[in-house]
Amino acid sequence: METKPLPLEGLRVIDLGWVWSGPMVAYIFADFGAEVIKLEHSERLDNSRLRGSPIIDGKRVQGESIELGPYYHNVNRNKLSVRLNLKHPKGRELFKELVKVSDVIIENFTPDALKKLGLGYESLRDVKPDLIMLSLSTAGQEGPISDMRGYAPVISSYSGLESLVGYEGELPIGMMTFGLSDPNAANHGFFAAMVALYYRDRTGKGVYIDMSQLEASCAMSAEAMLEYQMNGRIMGPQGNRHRIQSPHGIYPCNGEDRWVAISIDSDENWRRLVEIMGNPDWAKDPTYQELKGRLVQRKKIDRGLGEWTSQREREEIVKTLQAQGIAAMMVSTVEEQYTDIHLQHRGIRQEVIHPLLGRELLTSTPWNLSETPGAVRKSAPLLGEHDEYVYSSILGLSFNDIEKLKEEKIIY
Amino acid sequence: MMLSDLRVIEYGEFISAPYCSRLFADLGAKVIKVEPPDRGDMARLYGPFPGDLPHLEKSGLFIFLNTGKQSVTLNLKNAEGCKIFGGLLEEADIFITNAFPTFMEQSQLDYFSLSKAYHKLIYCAITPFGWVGPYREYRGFNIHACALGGASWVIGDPAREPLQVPLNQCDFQGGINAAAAILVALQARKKIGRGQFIDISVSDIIATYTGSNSMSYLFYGLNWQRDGRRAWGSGGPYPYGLFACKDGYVCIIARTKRDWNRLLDALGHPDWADNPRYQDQIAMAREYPEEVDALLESLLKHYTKNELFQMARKWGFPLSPVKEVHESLEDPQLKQRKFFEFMEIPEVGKLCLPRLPFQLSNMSLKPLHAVPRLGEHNEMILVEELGISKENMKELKEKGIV
Repeated sequence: METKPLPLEGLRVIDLGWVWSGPMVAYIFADFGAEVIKLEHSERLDNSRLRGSPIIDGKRVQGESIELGPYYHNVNRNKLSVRLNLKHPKGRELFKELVKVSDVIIENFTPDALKKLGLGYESLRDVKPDLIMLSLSTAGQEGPISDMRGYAPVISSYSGLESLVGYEGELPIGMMTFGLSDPNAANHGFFAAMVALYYRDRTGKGVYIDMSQLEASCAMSAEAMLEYQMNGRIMGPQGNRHRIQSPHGIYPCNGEDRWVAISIDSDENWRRLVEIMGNPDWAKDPTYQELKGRLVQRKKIDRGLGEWTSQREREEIVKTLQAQGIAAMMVSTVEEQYTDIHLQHRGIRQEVIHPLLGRELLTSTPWNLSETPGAVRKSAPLLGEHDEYVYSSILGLSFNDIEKLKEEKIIY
Repeated sequence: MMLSDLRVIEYGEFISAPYCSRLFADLGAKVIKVEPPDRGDMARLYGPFPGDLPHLEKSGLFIFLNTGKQSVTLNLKNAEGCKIFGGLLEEADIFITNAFPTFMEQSQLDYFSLSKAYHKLIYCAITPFGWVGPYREYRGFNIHACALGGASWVIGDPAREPLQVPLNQCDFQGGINAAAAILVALQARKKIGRGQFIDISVSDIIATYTGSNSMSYLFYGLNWQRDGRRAWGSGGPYPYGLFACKDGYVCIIARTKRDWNRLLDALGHPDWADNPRYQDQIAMAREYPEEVDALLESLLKHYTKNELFQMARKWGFPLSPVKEVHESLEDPQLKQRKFFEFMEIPEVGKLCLPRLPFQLSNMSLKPLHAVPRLGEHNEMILVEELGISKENMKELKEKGIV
C-alpha cells in the first residue's frame, strides 16, 4: 500500500486541554501528523479521565479506571502523554524548555489561570518569539462575564440557540445531549490556529488567539438576530420547520420509534410527492400548489404526510422519494451509527487496539483529503507513557535528573 | 491581513460553502462568488427580509454570509460558461463548492477533470452525504444530516417526533470544518507541491460529534436517546438539563458533587439537601429525576434567570439563563469584545452582524465590506481580469450565460 504523507508532520503541539473542546483541537493536529504532547499531572488530571470504568459485554472492566474511559480515548488518540506539575517552579521551567522546541500551545483553562502561573502568552513569547498559542475559553479572556463557568449546553443556552429547540408554539426543550458548542468551538479554534501557522510561515511572526466559545455559538445564529433587527420578531422554538420549504419535517414510520426526515424544496417536488402518495384527497387543495400556501397550512400537511409515512418502512420511503429527487433520510438510531451502509462505506469509525481495553472503535477524521488524509493511528496514551521520550530525547535530561523530578512529584 | 495572498473561488449556495468562503474573506483573501445568472444563490430567496418582502438583495442570511465577496454570474450548465469559469480558476488557490456531485461531473467541473489543468488547486466539495458512498446521489439539507448523523435521535420529547438542530447549524458545521480542512491542504501543498480534493460530508461531521459524545453513555449502561429537557440518565450524575425558574428557563449542569452542593447552598440549603436520597446523583439521574426537578424548581421559581446567573457566578457552578438569540446584540460581554459590527446596507439600513469568534493578537479584521449585488463584479472580473471583450460580454448576456 502506498503511504501518503502526513501534512502536519514536523509540527510539535503542546496540549493543555481539558474535556472536549481543547483536546479535540489537539487531536485534529495529531490525526494529520503533528506530534502532540498532552500534559497532565496526577493531582490535576483531565477530568474526562474520571468518568469511571466502562461496562463492556455487561461487565464492569477491572483495572485503573483513569486509563479505561472510552470517551477519553477518543479525544486523545494519536497523542503522547507526559506528566508535569505546572504549580511547581521547576515544573514551569521545564515547561518553558518544552515551549522553546514547540510550535503551538492549546489551552482551555479558565482565563488568567496560566497568567497566574507566569505562563501567559507574553511570558512564553519571550522564550519562543514565533509561538502560536490558542486560548479557548467560555466567553473570552476579558470582559464582565469572562469568569463564567460552562459546559457546551450552558454556553448555547446563553447564546440563545437552545431557546430555538422545541416544538412550535411551546416552551423550549433544548438539545442537552448533543453538545454542539464544544466541537463547534474546537473546529473554529483549529481553523484559527492553522491560519496563524500559515501567517507565521509567511512572516515569521507568532500569534496569540483569544477564542470565545460563546462567540462561536453566536456567530452562526445571525438569522435570528436579523429577524429581530428587520422585523422586531423573536424566534422561539422552531420545531422541524423551514423558512422556505414545506412540508419539512420528521415523520413516523412503520415500527417502534422509527422516523424519516422529508423536505420539499420546490412546487414540482410537491407534485411528485402527491403522485407518489397516490393523489390522496387531502393533498388536492389548490392552495398547496405553491410554497406560500403550503407554509400557511404546514401543520395540516404534516398530519397527512405523517399518516402516509406511518404505514411504510423508512428504507422504502427514502428509496422511493430519492429516486424522484426528493430529499429524504432515515433518522438513524445510535446502533445504526455503526451499521448504516453509507456511514460504514465512508469509514466514520476506525479501529485501534488499546493496551488495556483491546479493540476499540473511535470516530475517524471526518475530512477526506485525497492526497494527505488524516487517520487514527494510535490509541490514546497511558498517563505518562512518553515521559522518557520527552524528557530524555527532546529535552536532554539525564536518567538521574528524571528520577529526581519523579521523587519531587514534578513528574507525577 | 493573514490570508491576503489567497484567491478563492466559490460556487456555492445557501450556507455551507458560503460560510466557508466568508471566513477566508474576513481574513483578507480575495473571494469571487460565482452565481447562476437567473436567481443567484438560493440564500437570496431565504430571508429574513425587511417587512417580509422577498428581494434578491435584501435577504438577511445572504447578507451575513457574503459580505466582502465579489459576485460574478455564470451559467455552468452551458459549455461556454464552463470555459469562462476555467479562466477564473487560473490564478485560484482554492475552489469551494456545495454543488451536486453528478452535476459537477457532467459539466466536467469535478476534481478529476480539473486537476490536470490546475494542479495547484485545492478543491473542496461540501455535500450533505459526501462525494462517495451509497447515498452520494441523494439530495438533502440540514434536517437530513441531523437525521443520518444521529443528532435528531437525541433531540426532542421521547413520546414525540425527534427534532432538527435549529437555524441550519449542521450546514454551518460543514462550512467551518471545510475551512479547517482547506488550511491543512494549504500546509500540505507546501510539502507535496500540488493541490488536492477534499470531500466534506455534513452527515459525517454530525456523526463524529454524536459519536464522540455518545461514548460517555454507551459504555456506562446508559441509553443514548432523547429525553426532553434532560440529557438521558444525565450521562451519569444529575442534574443536567433545562429547569424552570421565575421568568423562563435556566440550564444547569451540576454533575460533580461539589457543584451540586454549591447549587444547594446557594439556594439556601433546603432540609432535603442532606437526605442521602438527594446526594446519590446517579440514582437521581436514573431513578427519580422528576422528583428532583420538582424539588429544585420549587426553589428556582423564586428567582429570575438573571438572579440565578449572578448567583452561579458568585458561587462558581455552571448555570446559564436560556436567553433569546437577539439578547446577544445588547450583551455587555460581546459588546466589550467588539464581536458585532454595524454595516449600512442600501435600501435595508443599518444591520448589526457577528464577526469571527476569535481575536488574533496585533491583528484587526478587515472591516465588513459591502455585500455584492447579483453579478455586480461581472465587468471588473470578466472584462478587466479575464480580458473578455465588451462585444463578447453583450453576446454572453443575451445568451443568458452571464
